[in-house]
Amino acid sequence: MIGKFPQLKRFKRHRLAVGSLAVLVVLAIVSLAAPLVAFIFGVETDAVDLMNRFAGPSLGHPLGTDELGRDLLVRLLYGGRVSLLVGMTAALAAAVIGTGVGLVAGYYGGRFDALLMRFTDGVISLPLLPLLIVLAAIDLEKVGLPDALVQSEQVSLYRIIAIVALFGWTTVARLVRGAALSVRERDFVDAAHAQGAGALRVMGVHILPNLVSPIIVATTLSVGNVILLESVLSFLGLGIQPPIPSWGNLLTNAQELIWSAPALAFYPGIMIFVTVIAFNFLGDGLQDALDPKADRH
Amino acid sequence: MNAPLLEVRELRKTFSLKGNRLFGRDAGVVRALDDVSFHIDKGETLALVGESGCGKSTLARMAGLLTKPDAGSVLFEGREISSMSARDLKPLRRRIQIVYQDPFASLNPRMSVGAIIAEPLVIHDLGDTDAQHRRVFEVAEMVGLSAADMELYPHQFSGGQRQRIAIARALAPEPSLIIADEPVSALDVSIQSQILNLMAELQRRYDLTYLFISHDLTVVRHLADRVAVMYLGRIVETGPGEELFKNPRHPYTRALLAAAPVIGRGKRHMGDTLQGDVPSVLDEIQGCPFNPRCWITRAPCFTDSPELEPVVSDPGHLSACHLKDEGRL
Amino acid sequence: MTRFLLHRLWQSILVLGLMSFVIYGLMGMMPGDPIDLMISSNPDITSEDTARLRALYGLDKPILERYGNWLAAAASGDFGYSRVHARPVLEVLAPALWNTLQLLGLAIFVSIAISIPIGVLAAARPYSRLDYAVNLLAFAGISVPVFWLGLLLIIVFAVILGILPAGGTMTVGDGGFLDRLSYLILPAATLTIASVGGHTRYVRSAMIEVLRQDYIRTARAKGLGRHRVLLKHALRNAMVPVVTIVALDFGFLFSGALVTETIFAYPGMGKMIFDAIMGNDFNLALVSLLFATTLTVLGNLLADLAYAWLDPRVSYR
Repeated sequence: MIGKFPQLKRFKRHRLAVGSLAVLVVLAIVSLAAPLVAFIFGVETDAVDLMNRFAGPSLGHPLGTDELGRDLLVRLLYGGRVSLLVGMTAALAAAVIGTGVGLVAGYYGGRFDALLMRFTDGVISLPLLPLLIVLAAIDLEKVGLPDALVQSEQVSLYRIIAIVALFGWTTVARLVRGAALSVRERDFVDAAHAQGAGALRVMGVHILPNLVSPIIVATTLSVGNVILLESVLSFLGLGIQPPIPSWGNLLTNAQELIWSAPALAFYPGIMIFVTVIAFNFLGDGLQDALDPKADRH
Repeated sequence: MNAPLLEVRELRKTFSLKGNRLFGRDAGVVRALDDVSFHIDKGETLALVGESGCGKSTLARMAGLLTKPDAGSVLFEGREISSMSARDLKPLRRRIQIVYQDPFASLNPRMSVGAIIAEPLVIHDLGDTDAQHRRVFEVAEMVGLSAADMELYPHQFSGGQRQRIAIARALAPEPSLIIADEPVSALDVSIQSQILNLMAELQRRYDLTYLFISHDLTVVRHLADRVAVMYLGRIVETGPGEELFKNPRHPYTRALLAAAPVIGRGKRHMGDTLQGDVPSVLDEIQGCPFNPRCWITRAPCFTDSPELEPVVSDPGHLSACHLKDEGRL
Repeated sequence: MTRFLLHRLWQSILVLGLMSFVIYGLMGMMPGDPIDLMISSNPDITSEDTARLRALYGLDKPILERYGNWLAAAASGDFGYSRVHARPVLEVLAPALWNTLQLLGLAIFVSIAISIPIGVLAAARPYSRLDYAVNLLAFAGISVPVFWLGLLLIIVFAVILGILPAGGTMTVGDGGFLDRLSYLILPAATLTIASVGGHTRYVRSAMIEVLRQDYIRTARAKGLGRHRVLLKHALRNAMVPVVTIVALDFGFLFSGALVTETIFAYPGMGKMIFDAIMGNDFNLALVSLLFATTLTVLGNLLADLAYAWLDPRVSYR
């Protein structure tokens, strides 16, 4: 930890980043504890109560109820659970892919690097949402996946994580490649080569551990994007399918009810907004703290 | 007579500069090594001296099996290695170790010291884990580090200590040849002698062979058995250590000696000796490459490039100067 | 320079070619091909009929061959029929494209009109309060879910205040310029708000780069008034990044437009793509997706070119 101190100090200077971290931690805790919150308020999560539709805030229902009389706060928290988990998993998956690509490109350099970067640029240049929609709308049975998987309840979760990761790796790849290129120039990498170390060893033992900072920054910065993508797709009905709640699909119904209950559209959206902006601030602060020489544009 | 441990013959290496292509031509070639030959016998220390840009780093990398020459050959224990395949080279890499100049860059900051030292053993698969541990502690002790230090990380040590770690790493696989590329240049002067003494001690005890590269003659003085002076990619003088210091037979050597500070006497004034800066390695010079800076030039110096040849009075002492046999320079 | 241009062009064509095949294949994996739909609407169809129909439509051939056929037809201008609209694809595409261009045009125009002056001001006073605010707004802009923003605007202006329409292109029976404009305001505002932050930051950093150049200092030393220097010299050179923004944002705006159009029931390309995909309108979806991809790739190409033209120090890789 001794070496980490200067980074920690630098991080603390970013009040926005620190605040964001706090907000996210609270959010994570509360969302994960959704069942507990439900218990405290004496609410059953999916309890439909048609007598109590569109109720305003009250003691029993701190944020009111939705069109089926379900408690809004609890739905929101459960949705948060899903959105956060999906977001972070997808970001992690994207980070793994991106690190792999970036590391290999940065290590080998030359033509191989050029090729990989061309490919990455190609992926970046595609229109994201239309393609994601196509991917999300595919009939999974035609792809040849096992039936058990295709018909499971969680398939929409796996699918959305997979397709978002499929496009989200490019930022990490670029960042990691740049960092790998510069680490490669350091003497200890030369020493490993002089020793006869193979490519795998050099990449895994020498270069990768020195890429931890850019990887963390890139991944944090990508979580926000991932959450936005998931929420858009879920909103359009292509992401996380009901009955599994997510902030995105909570808004799907809200659109139809916009004239009768506008409040329903407010909460899930603000949660998305706050979460994403928090991750962005956090990532920005981390970038400053971990790598102050980074290009500040 | 036994073959020398390391021998290089007529090495040439050029780099082409990826220049400003907007102007339609390459920006030039750098002749890093231009017909370099020398040898090192087992157990001795050959010091390779020269200013920055003279090619000594390229030479170090070549001897360290990191680059291949464009022409010429490198022989290790009599065997030609410059054209060997990577697979055949690998066992040799164990026998030739490198100690780098910058102790802050040559150690992976994310690895523990013990892991760093053990790495050659791991790569060459020398012994099982226990044997490797033992060897690491053994070698740590040799360089003056404790067993407890093995758990720490490089940034927790000073420059001098980090260089000890680097030396320990080089010693671990029981090498025959150690290439020390400016091993003390980045250290404080007071620490330099500590490390030099350590290296001398280690050489004595374990019969090591050193190729010691430096730009500083004073550093080299006490450790070197033989010295080779490099200038612009060529060896301009080589000979037994003390002999070379007392009686340099090339003006460049003389100038280097004159510039070296001597404790108690202060830096000697260079004044009318060396003129100008090291010319760009891109320029083609007619005749002796040293003539732009030389103060004792004669006619042949501008037309014929002198060969490295023995001085009349001492066959073990070679110089590439037309005036090498003429009294005091 | 030409070498770079050709290289990037070649790369773009490659991407497009590859994507056309990929999209073609992906569309084939949509639930239900045309024959399946016929089956579900007419339970009397026999399996011989389906086999016959499949052969008729060429659906039984291997994918490469089908793709080849499609490509050949497309090359000669035949992009097929839209199943849902019962008209040639191009006929359906053209008006939708025009609608989207209107929307995007308005959004980009307003965004640039706001971001340039503010960006320049922020660049002139780095680290000031204004600068800080700009930075914050930029973060907010890239963090807000575009579709939610649209919903909020609808709630505020259509539901609560009732002064702007919630969707469509025009009021029945009207269609005049102002009327159409009123329908464009909310969707365009959504897109603008989402992108203005990023644009402002971009202008700001471009301006800061330019201001740092030595020649600006020279001009100042020559005694020109500070404002004149700013406006004349720096702005002219910061124009190119603006072009870059617009070109780069093509892709982003397309995606954003898709969701915005869907919310506002605005019949542009984005909504068309979405409806086509969801409605299994194979031909239309395929062609419009490819079109969107082409525009995005083109946009990136233009941005790269503009950037390279602006700064010859950029390596040609």
